[in-house]
Amino acid sequence: MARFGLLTALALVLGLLDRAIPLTALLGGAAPGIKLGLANTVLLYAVYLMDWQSAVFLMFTKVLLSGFLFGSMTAILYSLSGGILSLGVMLAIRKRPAAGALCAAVMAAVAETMLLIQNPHPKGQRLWCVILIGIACIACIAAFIAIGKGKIRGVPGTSIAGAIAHNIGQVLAASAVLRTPQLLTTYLPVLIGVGAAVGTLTGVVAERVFRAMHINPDKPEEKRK
Amino acid sequence: MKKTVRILTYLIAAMMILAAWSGAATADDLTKESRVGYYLDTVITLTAYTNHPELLDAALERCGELENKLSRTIEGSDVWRINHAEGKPVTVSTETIEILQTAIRVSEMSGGAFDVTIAPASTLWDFTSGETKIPATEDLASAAEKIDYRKIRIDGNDVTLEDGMMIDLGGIAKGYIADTIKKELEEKGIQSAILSFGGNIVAIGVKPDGSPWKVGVQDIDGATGETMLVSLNYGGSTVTSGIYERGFTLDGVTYHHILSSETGWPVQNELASVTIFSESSMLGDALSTATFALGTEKGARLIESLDGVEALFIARDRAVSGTSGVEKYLKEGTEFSLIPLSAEEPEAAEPAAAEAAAEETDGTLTLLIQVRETDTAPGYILLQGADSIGFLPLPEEGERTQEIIQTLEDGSVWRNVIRMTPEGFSMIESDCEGKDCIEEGEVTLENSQDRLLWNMVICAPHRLTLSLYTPEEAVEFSKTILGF
Repeated sequence: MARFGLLTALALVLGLLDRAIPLTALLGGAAPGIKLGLANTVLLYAVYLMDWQSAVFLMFTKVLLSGFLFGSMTAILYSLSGGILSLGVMLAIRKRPAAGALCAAVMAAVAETMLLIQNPHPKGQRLWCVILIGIACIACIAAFIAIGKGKIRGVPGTSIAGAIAHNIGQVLAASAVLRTPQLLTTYLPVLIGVGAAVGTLTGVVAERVFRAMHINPDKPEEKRK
Repeated sequence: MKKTVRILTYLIAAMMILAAWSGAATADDLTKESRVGYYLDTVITLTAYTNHPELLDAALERCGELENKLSRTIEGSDVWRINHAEGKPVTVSTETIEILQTAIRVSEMSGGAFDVTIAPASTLWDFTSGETKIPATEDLASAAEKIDYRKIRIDGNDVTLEDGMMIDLGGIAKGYIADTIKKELEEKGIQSAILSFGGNIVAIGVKPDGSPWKVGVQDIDGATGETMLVSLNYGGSTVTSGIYERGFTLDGVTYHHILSSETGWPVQNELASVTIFSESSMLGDALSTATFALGTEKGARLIESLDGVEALFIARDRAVSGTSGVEKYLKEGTEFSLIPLSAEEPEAAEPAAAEAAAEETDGTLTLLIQVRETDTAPGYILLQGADSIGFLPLPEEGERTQEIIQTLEDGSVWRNVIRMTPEGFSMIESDCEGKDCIEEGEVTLENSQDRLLWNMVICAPHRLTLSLYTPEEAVEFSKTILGF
């Protein structure tokens, strides 16, 4: 139980840190609602080192608490939708992260294609968005290969898939609440790319943390006893 | 297993707290509900504080029923049958008789300035299609000869017109429908509502917080939809008739829908609009037309002769004047009988105009529900809020700020401010968390394909999406998506 409280507090603090890093402003304001998702490392920990019920409980606690403390009912709706989808995906693929990374790579590639089809002559902000998604594709495929060869463990793969699922969930909720289905074709591809990028980042961070704690995420029992 | 049960218990407890939280906010309070419909060539918006939104749906249906009786153009309606009787008596509903009797009363009061038998002339004009066509002078002259309310014969529920005569309840039917809907909603227990029928606005009671409803009186340059001043409604009727409502401008002359019963031509005098404050919206509707046709002086004299009715006149030079008791219907500090906005110095007047536009109003529709081919704004912003949708025209020149206030059922108020230019718009203020919407930058008709959010500015916490469309797209969108 103490570990639970600690994790919740950590998730809330990291959530605050996410808010404090003005990624949207750094990107020139072009893409609203983008966060690093550092709080997701806590969920990754729960996914790998606790049972699924605890992970679900942790996610709900984090979303509801941070919503009531810092946000609004509408914000809770968006986060909850993203959180449920993301956690579901992460729990489903935690044993098969390579498959998850491959799926993520395919999705990012599809998103990039959608953007290119919609605007065959990308310029300005649209251009670097395509570049971003391209990088995300490569990162995902690299993760897939590395996991397959046993070079890295599965955490980044799971993290990427989770981040993309989170963004899909949020956009689904947003397009329903805002009654703007056009978000699905215009903004979702962008968020999938961004999700792949920040998912890689948080996944690597989580992986490092696990290593520093001498935990093998694939066989947590070894350390925990 | 034990652990699972414990976690589930916590989860359920958390859910219950959440449920109690959201329940506490709404259980005692009535919900603000809105319904929008399109009847009698007008956008009808019904907003009420109630826990029974289905009453509003029923009220909209009722509007449709009444339209079917009172429309001049719907075949088989009471009015259509009267107009096609060729001199024979027609038996009509009690509602139609009641309206006709009120119409004749106002005609008598105004010496014929208001006349429901205007139809032979009004059918020659076409103010809605957008074609700027002026009828032939001789056609209008012969039509005007057929206008005479004194030749309407009413016997019980039978109405007889002379052959060639026609009636048009356009200047009074909306008021009747407004009164009827109000009465029926009151009977069903609604105590606080604002019902907008284009130029007719009726209120039930006051706002739940006890303050009067604020009804904006449009600026005389109707294309911008800007509010010129704010009037108050304590549960009565506010009706505005103006030259900007329906009409067109050709060679510098504004041809509008208020026709002279003597000549069949649009009334051309010093007035831009008349607003009537009264208990009955049907009376107010007819009086607004009558008073407009009579002009400021004679019109004011007519209104002064009536109890419980006040009038506000706005002249074409933006001079505001009113009858002796009009002050209580105006927001404190509103100057009238003076000239608040100087016509010669629009630059100097601009801050005041912007302030007036930023005023929160409950009744005026500053949003267009439909963009027509004839609308002239350089672009349109589709505004989708938590419970509102409509088009906001871009200004034809200069810069304009527009405040967007959303009042939620739980009492929270969300405020956004946008700045509009003829090219596009941007979000400049928001009281949301994060303020991402301000960072999203400017959308213009030029750059909308290059932005990540395309033509949209989104304030996600406020459930507000603003998307920019060219006039052609907006017209198309009005037809396909909004279903007109």
